[in-house]
Amino acid sequence: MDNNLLKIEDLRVYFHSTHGEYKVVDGVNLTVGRQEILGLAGESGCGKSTVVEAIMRLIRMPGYIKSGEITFYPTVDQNAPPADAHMSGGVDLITLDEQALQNVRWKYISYVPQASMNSLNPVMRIESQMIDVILAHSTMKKTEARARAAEALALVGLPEAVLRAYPHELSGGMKQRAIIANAMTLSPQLVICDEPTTALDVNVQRAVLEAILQIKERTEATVIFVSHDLAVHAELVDRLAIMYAGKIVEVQGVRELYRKPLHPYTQRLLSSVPTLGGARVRQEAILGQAPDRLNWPTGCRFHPRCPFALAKCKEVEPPLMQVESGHLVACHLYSEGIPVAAVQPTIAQSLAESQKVDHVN
Amino acid sequence: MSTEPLLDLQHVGTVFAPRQGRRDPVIAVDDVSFSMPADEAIFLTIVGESGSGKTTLTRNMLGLTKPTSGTIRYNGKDIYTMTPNEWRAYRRAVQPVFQDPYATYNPFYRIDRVLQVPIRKFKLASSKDEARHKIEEALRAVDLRPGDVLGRYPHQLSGGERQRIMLARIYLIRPRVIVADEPLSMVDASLRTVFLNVLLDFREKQGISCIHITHNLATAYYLGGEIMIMCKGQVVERGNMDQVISKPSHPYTRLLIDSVPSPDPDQRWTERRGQNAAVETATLKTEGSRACIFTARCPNVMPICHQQRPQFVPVNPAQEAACFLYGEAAKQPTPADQQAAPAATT
Repeated sequence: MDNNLLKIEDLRVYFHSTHGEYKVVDGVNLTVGRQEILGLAGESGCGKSTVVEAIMRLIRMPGYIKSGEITFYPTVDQNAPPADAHMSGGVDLITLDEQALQNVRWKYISYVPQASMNSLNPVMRIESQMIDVILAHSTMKKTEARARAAEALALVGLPEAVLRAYPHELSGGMKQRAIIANAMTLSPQLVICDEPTTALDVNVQRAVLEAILQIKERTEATVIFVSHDLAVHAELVDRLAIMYAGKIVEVQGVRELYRKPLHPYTQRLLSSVPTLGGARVRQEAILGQAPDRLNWPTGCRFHPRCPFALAKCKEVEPPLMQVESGHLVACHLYSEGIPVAAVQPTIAQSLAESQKVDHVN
Repeated sequence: MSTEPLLDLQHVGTVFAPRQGRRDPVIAVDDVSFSMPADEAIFLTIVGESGSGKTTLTRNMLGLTKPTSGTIRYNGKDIYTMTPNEWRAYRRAVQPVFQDPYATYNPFYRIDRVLQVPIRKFKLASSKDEARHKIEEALRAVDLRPGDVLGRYPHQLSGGERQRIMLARIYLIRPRVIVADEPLSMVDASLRTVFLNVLLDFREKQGISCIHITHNLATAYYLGGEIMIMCKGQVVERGNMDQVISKPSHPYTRLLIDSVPSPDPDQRWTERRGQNAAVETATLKTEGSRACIFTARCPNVMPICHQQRPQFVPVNPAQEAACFLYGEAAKQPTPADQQAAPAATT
């Protein structure tokens, strides 16, 4: 068994519409290592939420999984029931039927959807909502389930008293942490958090992020963390995958990626993150319109907005390939046999020039 | 102040009466005073967490919610006792950009209407051709291609495009002040820059001031200008943006700034400091107006904080804070004060 927990190969998720087919996720390749926090970033509409919905098999009509494989390699107990035991060598989540999925969801993979803190039932106490989930996905008794719920709350830094609370008695950050605790009740091996801190205040956001860090430190769970906020990714994730127009364009360890982004899109994205302090320099936004999901641009999908586009970029789609150890990038600048070190200075220079417009007089 | 301010808020307060089943009234805005100068275009950013009264204060300024105490004057006239003509002029001079670009448009009308109505109302153009010309100019000023947006319905545009249409409308009207309430909370990161750059251009080229309400300190910093930090309806610190961000003096401001995620993976919270800040409000109960509003979460709390409400004291010429750590009360150094001093300089 290698060190991957999840392997996504050529995943395509399309949506039917009267205008044609929206190719929202169009050929995603991604691996998720054991016990890492993998970040997934990109602007809205790039398909990042759809990727994680596909992992959870939550795509509903008019959307459908066109093709691809999502192989999940869980660690299975030796004396596990047969339903679990057959997964030990890896299982393609796309081919599972509803009953098998019921067994995977929550016990092996749990999910915190976008804006889910607002979906807590207002007339049920937190404990009943958590116990319901535990009973639906395990053979636990109710008292056991309650104890497990309390443990999960402690994991995210919430007191046991929260169990007896109704959602309106909790602040936004507490609700979000209760939702994350709920996802942790059955000790899943993979937790997917989709924009868990969007629309939260900075200090509440910090509490939620610290809860996710606790999960990584104190359990053996792997986390897929979806967010458009690159500053949040910098605080939290180990490895970061950048999505653009339904594809992954770059994957690298977060420290190395922020130090040396290779894809022009990643470079633009990183340079447009506002910072606190330092020189106040006018930033230039990524030029041009977001691409049309009905008709993705030919060749490299970023070429209409790319300052370094070559003739080849308009015609040939660059594959996601490893240019340096562990650093995956889909860009023709790096595929022509030019060493990264040789390309980097020219790119950095022309980027720096485009940003040197100081607006403070 | 030598010249009369353009917009002047004095001791503005808004209290919402208790709802049924609730014991205490909600004090949304508590004694807020500030003014916008008439002779120069400035940026004023109001920062605070949710529930700090930012949006209520905006609604007070726009004339949508009458404050229960204090006055808001525009050119010396109270906006809530204006004649209809003065009121029309005020509504033209102070233009809003609201939080949710999905809720501000009527879905039945094309985008064009949002731009045509002000032209008609304020008689900005004498012919149809001139009107169209002006609309196209306004759209270009906010980085939109007229052909891309005209004739479309709101649902066909992204959040960022919708917020920029609002700015195009503002460009047509040429107000004195823009009041933007969390204009970027539903806009994508890459479009944020476009929006903020338009605000910068408006200030430089049109002389339009902006009151920008946000909880995002990083976008506030990008704009620069003046900043006010609000906590539970009160202003706790105010001053020059660079001063306040680089040397926050109020413990609440420090907490806020410390919680901003840094886009540098080598500078994580876990590595920056082992400080276990009380990052979240345990309760939202008001503690009576006599105490400092921040006592429940303040790491530097002193006995005096529970007895009196702190007044603004200057920390330096460009910055003031409503906190007993500074000014008269800080004359006798306390252990808390000594702890605070190094933190304030980081």
